[in-house]
Amino acid sequence: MLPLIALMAMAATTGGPASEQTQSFGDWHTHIVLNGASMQSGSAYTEDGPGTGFGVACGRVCTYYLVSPIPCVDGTEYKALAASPTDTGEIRLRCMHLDVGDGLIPQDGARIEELLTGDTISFAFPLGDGQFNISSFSLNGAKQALTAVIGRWKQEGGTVHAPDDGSKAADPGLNDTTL
Amino acid sequence: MIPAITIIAMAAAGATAVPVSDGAERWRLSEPLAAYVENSSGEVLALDCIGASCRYLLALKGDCQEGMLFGTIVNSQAGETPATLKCNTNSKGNVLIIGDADVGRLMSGDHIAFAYPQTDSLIAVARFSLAGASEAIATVMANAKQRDAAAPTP
Repeated sequence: MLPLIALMAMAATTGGPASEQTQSFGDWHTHIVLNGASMQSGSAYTEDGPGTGFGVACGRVCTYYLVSPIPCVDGTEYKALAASPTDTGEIRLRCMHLDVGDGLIPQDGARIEELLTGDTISFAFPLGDGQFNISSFSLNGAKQALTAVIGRWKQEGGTVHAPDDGSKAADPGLNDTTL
Repeated sequence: MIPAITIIAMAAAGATAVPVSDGAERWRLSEPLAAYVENSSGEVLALDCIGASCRYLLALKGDCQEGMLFGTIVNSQAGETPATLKCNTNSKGNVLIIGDADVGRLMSGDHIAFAYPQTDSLIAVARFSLAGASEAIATVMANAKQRDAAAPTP
């Protein structure tokens, strides 16, 4: 799967030469786009089969995202269940239609971070009529990958987590993504 | 097998009749103030009334500890809602009391399902037929109302 961040990076790269760095940490991968020595954008992500991914993408801010093969309605907010070995909770996800599939953006990134404990994180999305889509993602290597991207982003003065104002502008870098 | 939830609901209501399942997945009355449906995995969703107070209960696979609370997402054709499950244990088994949600609002369509956490961060889904639900629920609610109205005022 082409990581969402790659699309963001492509959209964000307007003029000037950019270089890319990729790394793998366990089941997680990082992709950082550099403009000179500065980090222009980056992502840390993992996959659970074709078309299903979870990670963080840093464009103008850093935001967590899920990519699901199940279509969702652009702009609609969904309630979902997120579970880690030590914690469980309802989260809200906003659907964002992308050319490569539908992205779901958690509206509370800090809550996602609280759930990043243990070996796995799982999400259940209600599909209607008693059906759920369940995705589970390995957290093997997550800490290193997230530190590599979010840590560097913070070091360079970047903002983490989009504000929870319910608008598309809260997910900068995603809504204007083009291939 | 008589589902644990049915036994609990019946015990709570002092019922004496034991329901016999014919294998069809549909809602049934287990006694005047309780109705339930059992899915093919042996999980049970029930409505249980004590006086005029009615609540939905779940009997799922696995154990839980008394008083333990955990989140669930409930989903049917009518929509979805988050809810809290509270573990209640007694000598007959575990039952989860569904709180903080208007589950009754979701009792339409063909199925209702609950996504709930298991150990090791896995999520399981318990899915139940809503065949016969509206009739069974309406009957239980009406019986509960009638009994409450007939109860002597202290």
